[in-house]
Amino acid sequence: MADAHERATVLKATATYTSKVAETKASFLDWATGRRQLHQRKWEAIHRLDFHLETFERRATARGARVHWAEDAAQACEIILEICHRTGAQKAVKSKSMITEEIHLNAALEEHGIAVVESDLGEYIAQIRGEPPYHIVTPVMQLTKEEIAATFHEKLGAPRDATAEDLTKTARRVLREVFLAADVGVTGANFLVAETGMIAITENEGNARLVSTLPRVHIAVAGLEKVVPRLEDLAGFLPMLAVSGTGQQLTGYNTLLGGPRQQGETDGPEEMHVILLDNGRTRLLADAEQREALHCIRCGACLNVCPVFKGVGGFSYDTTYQGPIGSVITPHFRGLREWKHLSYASSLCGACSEVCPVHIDLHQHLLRNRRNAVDAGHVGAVEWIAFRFWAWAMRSPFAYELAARAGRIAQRLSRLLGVEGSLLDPARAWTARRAAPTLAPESFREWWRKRKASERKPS
Amino acid sequence: MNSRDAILGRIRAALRAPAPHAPAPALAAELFPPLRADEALPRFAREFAALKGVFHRSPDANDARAWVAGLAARRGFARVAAAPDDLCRDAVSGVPGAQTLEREACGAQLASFDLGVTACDCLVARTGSIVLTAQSGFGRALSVLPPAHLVVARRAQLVGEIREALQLLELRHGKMWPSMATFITGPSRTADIEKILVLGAHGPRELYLLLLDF
Ligand code: SF4
Repeated sequence: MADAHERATVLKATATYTSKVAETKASFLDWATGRRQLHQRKWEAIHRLDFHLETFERRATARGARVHWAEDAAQACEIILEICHRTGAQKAVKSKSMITEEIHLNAALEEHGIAVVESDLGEYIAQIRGEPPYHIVTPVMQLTKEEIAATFHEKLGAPRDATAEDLTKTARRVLREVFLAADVGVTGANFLVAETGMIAITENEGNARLVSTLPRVHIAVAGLEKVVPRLEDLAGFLPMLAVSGTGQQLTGYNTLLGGPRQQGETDGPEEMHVILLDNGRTRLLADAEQREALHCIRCGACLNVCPVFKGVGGFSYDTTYQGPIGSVITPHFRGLREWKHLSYASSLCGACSEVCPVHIDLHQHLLRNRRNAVDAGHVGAVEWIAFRFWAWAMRSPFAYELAARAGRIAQRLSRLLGVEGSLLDPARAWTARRAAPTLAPESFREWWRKRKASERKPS
Repeated sequence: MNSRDAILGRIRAALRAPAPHAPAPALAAELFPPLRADEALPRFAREFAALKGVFHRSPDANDARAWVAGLAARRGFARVAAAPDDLCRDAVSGVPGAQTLEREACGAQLASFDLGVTACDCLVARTGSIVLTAQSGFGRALSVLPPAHLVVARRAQLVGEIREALQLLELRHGKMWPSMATFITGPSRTADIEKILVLGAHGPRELYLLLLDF
């Protein structure tokens, strides 16, 4: 659970985000049509995924890139380690990519003696603090500049009162050396353009450009759902990703990379590798009803508007992808039994579905996960009995009233004894992660009966 | 079976189950209100300035040379590297000590320069973006490694929308793409710390556009 200070920092950041988005959205002729267009283009991509991936592979290979297919995280890391070993790489530099978090690449590289440094400012801060990213787009959303200055003071000797500007300069200075010394650059990819065999990377800082320019080997890791059929599709995706991600009209750098240095070019890596990762994505694809969750372009908008995300904070999810989209896809990637609880942490307000630029019906998918969890028998016996009882009590006024009275007494008792939320609490499945609402001292039915009775009495 | 065939096999098997909703037929509607031809240049200048880029429009070659020389003097750019391109060479001809690059001087060696000067493929009025490739940008590093970047463009290179820029790239390079193409929208920036905008994260902190309008 996020504390008050963390929550205030996150609320401030999301409020800034919301006002910027409103400004840039206004420059669109018709945002709703844009959403439908993107949805359609992604639909087209996903529904012929095999075809588009093969096209991508063929075109990228023709440009001198090597395309690898990885079943899971372990295999993806293995491929990357193999490339590092073959090329004698000792030092790696990364630009921001959630998928390398998903496969725990840093741990794998370090285990094999390869130093790896994050170069996105937010990711770098998270890395030197030894924390995972808090938010898929804004990795250190929960930190104030004072907290970041304290970290830089401790780790890099920066002054305690450094401003955001000073901190950025310090990181630039430190990381410049890292870029120049790295043997391997690792990036993600926002899109794979099938038609041209290129990857597209969206960023603001220029670090992804440096990561894909200076080291002699460039490795891009991409989920296989990232493919779009045509170059022209980017005309819609790039501005809508920018608006939804950060409220910009277009993100600072949108870079297309097709192959290593070509004949006659003056610089760029000698090798380019693209790793296409499954890691549960084909499982999600096989669920026709929830397949559209693969349309996600990881803009982060659904997190920023989600009351649950803002309440519990990014770390509470304990997943690579937080917020509504994380709650929808994580059960498919890691197992419904262990991750179904995320789909219950939802107010079903629908704010996420409302903002999603590719029109994913996120809150409906949360409900579907809940239903699937019940159908698969993943709910505990107590919960099962409780809901049966609830169904019966709701149909019988007598039982309902009796239960309400019993509940009030039980709650008072539980609070008096300090049991609520503890291991002894019979309602722990609910109260361990939530504050239970206080039951009204008097039910509506009781109040109504008393009122009727007093009306009858002549005053 | 190798993982490629296994994954493709699973994709094909998965897609045999049709999704519940097929999308509506293709929507071709425009995303943005149309830009009139005479609005393009003012729009570009406005957007570029809003992004904290510095825009200069030159009516003739003398003005262009003088503006670049003045800029270099004012900002103290001692080491200036220009792409071996006629527009760039001419633009820096008034800057003492400016070098026109040869092939050997690229990549990491550019880190010691104060200003990189390149051409571009086109400019996008809608978003104030500069579009360049490994060809027009003379490699990948010159436009991102030095702390300042000057782009020299002709007026005719201005297009309205991102879509037009992509079409133009396709038309020009479709047969033999350079290995890198990028849409540069303002100087390098970050807002990772408390959403406070800071320029010059890892790429150029200063971005200049010299538009040759003659
Ligand atoms: S689900 Fe939609 S709103 Fe959420 S991150 Fe993905 S694209 Fe953005």
